[in-house]
Amino acid sequence: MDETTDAPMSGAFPLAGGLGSVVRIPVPGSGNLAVELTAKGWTPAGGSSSTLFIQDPTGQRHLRLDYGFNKRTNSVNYHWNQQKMNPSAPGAQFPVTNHQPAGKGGEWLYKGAKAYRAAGRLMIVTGVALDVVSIVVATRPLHQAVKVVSGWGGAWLGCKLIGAGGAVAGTAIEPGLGTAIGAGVGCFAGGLGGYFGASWAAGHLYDWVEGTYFSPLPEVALPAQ
Amino acid sequence: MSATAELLVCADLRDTRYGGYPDLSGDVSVLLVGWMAAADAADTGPLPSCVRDALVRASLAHWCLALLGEPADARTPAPGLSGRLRAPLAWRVVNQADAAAPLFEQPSHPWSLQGQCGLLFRDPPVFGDARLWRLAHRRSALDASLLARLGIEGLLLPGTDGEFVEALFGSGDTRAQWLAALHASATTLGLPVREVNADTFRQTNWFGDR
Repeated sequence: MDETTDAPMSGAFPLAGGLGSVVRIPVPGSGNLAVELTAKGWTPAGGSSSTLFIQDPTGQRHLRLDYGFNKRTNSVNYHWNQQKMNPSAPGAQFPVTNHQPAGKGGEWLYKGAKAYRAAGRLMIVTGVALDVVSIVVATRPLHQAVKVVSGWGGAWLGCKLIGAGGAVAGTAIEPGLGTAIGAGVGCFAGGLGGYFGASWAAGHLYDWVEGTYFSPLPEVALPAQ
Repeated sequence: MSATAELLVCADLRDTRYGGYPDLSGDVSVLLVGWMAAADAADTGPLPSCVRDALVRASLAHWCLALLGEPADARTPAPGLSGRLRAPLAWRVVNQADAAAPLFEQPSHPWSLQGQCGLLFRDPPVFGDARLWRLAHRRSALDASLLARLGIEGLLLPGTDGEFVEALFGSGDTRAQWLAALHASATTLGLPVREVNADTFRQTNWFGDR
């Protein structure tokens, strides 16, 4: 098989594109907060009316982008809700108060996060399916499997690392909105870079291991007692 | 103004903007509870402890209260349900006010995300009944006869953002009894209670800053 013309599509792009919908992207320096698209804890059928969460592992401390009745403005709008974030403390990383209206940017982000939560998972499934096909049709399935699985691990790690950097940069521009956008963009870039980097490294390592032979040592008779 | 200044209760308001149960029959008696607070109290959390204590003490005045909690064996799904509804849940029966407080603070059942549900009863219902789990999930239409069949006299549900409470009762008499108990418990805690009509409730400036 001609490797360049007959190679199936890589799952790297859809996988990296969808990772942000499931990966918890840390926000360094925030006391274990991370950007996520799902709530922590049990919620009734239908889930939460929020679509974007910057929260700790338990969900007890959080900033979330919500749509619904706003007790402060007495109207239905897009707004931020926070819990235990202490936004008025001097030097607070997220000085966003509870019920603070999120504006037009918040509305777009809310709708985007809602769509991406479902679309991102579909993209991951698509990426994994493409990669599985690439293993099945490869002339060296084990070699391709090692590359693919390493790519997945690299994408996950890259999403977390570069996404964390993006979250910090975004927070510096606009806490909340910028945090989420920075984390998302960083996750995609890091996921893509991590996928290709880990896949390339794993492929070369496989080839090196496969090309390594071990010569038996010459047998030597035991000295006579 | 203290952190939480006043409880407002409204008996004639059914409005999904305030959250609560989505599919209510007309024969269910509703009581919507909200609380006014100082502007700087908006950042302290969705359910002030004095409001929580007033609600719990009112509920324990004549009834037992069961709240959602994590099951001892987290692998055990709710019985008789399928798909996403099979999430492991358990009812925790509370007989004393102090025991209820931690159940409102559980990360596994976030009050602010409406992940809690309280049952009021005199004789313990069949907690394994799948219809109870559907109630917790707000999945089935709720009418007074269903509550009676399940042995439940009332439900306490967190409203929008956990900043309102929707209390639902199988009869008007039970609602009146619970409201009287709420007046008594809130007074004990130094929290004024005001009964208001729907218009007043809708126009309330909850944080006094508009």
